[in-house]
Amino acid sequence: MNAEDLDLVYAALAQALTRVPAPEIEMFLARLALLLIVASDDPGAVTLAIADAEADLTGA
Amino acid sequence: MTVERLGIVVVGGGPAGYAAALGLAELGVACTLLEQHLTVAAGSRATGISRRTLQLLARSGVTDEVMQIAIPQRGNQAFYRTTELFLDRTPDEPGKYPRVVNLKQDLFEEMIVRAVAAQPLIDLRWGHRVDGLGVEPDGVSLSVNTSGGELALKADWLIVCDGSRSHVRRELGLALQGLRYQTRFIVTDVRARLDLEPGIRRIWFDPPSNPQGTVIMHQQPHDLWRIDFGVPVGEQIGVALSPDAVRARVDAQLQMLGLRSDWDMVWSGDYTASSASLESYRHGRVFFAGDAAHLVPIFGGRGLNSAVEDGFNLAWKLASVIRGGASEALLDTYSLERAEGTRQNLAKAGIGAEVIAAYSPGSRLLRQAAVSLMLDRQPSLKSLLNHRTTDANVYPRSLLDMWAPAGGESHPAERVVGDALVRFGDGRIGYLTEELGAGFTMLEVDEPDAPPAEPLAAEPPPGLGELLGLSLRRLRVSLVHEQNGAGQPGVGRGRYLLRPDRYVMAHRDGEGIDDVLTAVAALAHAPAISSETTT
Repeated sequence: MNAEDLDLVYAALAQALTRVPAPEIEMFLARLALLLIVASDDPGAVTLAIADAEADLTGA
Repeated sequence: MTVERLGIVVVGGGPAGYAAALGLAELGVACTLLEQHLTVAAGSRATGISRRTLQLLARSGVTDEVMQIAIPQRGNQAFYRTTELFLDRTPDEPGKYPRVVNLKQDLFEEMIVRAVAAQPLIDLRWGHRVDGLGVEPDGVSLSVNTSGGELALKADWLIVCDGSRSHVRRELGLALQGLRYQTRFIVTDVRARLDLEPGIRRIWFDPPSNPQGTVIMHQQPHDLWRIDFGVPVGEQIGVALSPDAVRARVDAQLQMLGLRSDWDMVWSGDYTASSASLESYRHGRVFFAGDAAHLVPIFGGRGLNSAVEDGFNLAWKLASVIRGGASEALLDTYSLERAEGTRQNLAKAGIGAEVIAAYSPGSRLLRQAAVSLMLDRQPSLKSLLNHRTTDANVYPRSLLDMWAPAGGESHPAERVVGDALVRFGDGRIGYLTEELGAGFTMLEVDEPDAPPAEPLAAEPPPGLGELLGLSLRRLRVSLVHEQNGAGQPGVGRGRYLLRPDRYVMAHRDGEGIDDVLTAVAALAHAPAISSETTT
């Protein structure tokens, strides 16, 4: 993904997170994660991304 | 006090202990089985008997008895609240036995106890509780409590099958390692006439009958239904276990299903999904099997079935060593193989625990997300929620796996003798598993529908009548296509060497199998694999 695509996708995600009611943001992110996992054909990259996302939050 | 000297002592009835005793007896080796209770344990506990277990227990006659009343599992159905997510019916598969049949564990144990009692080589002693033990270089001393007073026994070998709270394990200072999930389940057997498609395993996520929890239903013989209720976080298990509370949950579930007739509660208990294992299943002359060695979450039927697998895996190896056919290195393979089996079982059952038990707020969130997406637009997530039934373990790193000259991968089913329909040398057609003996088998398989194979000589050539101190039978068959045209499970053309527990040690297509026999025979003098296991 190039920088231009990243800008577009990031903005779309930010706008969606603004529209989703605050109590539903967790569910929104969980659904998004599952959809991205299904779309990905690289389990290794997904596993690394899970570890990266967890780092700093649990000390893992 | 007089010390009674015994060869092999099995501590604890239950699937692992009975399987080990039967496996030994089938190979002509005697044992003494000590069970602290006076009857089999009550209640459902395990509900699914796997094809592999049915194959292993066929020789003892247990399988025929099981199949007379057990209910084959025919598929899986899942609901979110009351909305159906999917109904997957199990496709017809070739072979003699279904993949899994439903039968309450206490009924199963009554059947296996009858087979044990009929075996003159098994001395089954009820009401014998092991209170203390001491490990010595030449055996294990046992202090046993009975209604007639204390007994002193000394066993050459001890097989420990005394369950998840193993007293012997504790006495030896050993502990299971692993994660204990937090979600508790109320488990109950109810007798009711329900107008539901037979043999379908049903699961509800967040149903009105158990909000924020899970409900699983398995049909059992005799109009019994096993119902598991996941207890939502925050609810006290003591309160949930009270008879009135269990009845209220059952009432709500049956009402949700539209049941209008009466029902009876036959039994209830509780269960915590657990995942843990000993590091080694052999400690010198002491072996651990079943729940004493490992705990596997119930989802998928890997508890009882892995216990039976343990028992038969150990039995032939111990019989071989006792007969002087192999060095104690063969006993080390028991621990290495079955600990690997536990790792595989935990990996498969773990996803069931994540989805079904959903033991943390995060797990519940993710399951909710998966369910909501399945309802909308992502049927591919179904596999997460679907049932993963128990399957045979594979041991590609075991020194007993000589599948191909250069190693190589294969489907797990190919490592275990399947229920192939074959034509025997005398022209008779039957299932291969019916003709396998208790010892090793040298199997020669011809092309499908080949003319009846000439029987191999009744007398094996010199040096081939026995392997590792156990009998070696030679069997020649040709494959037969079943009426549904499906392929044969786990068997193709070539020569096979089959272990007593029906694992395929080696397969050679178009070549001799002498290299395998030579390698196996070398086990008679093999050094111990792990110094830890010989302490």
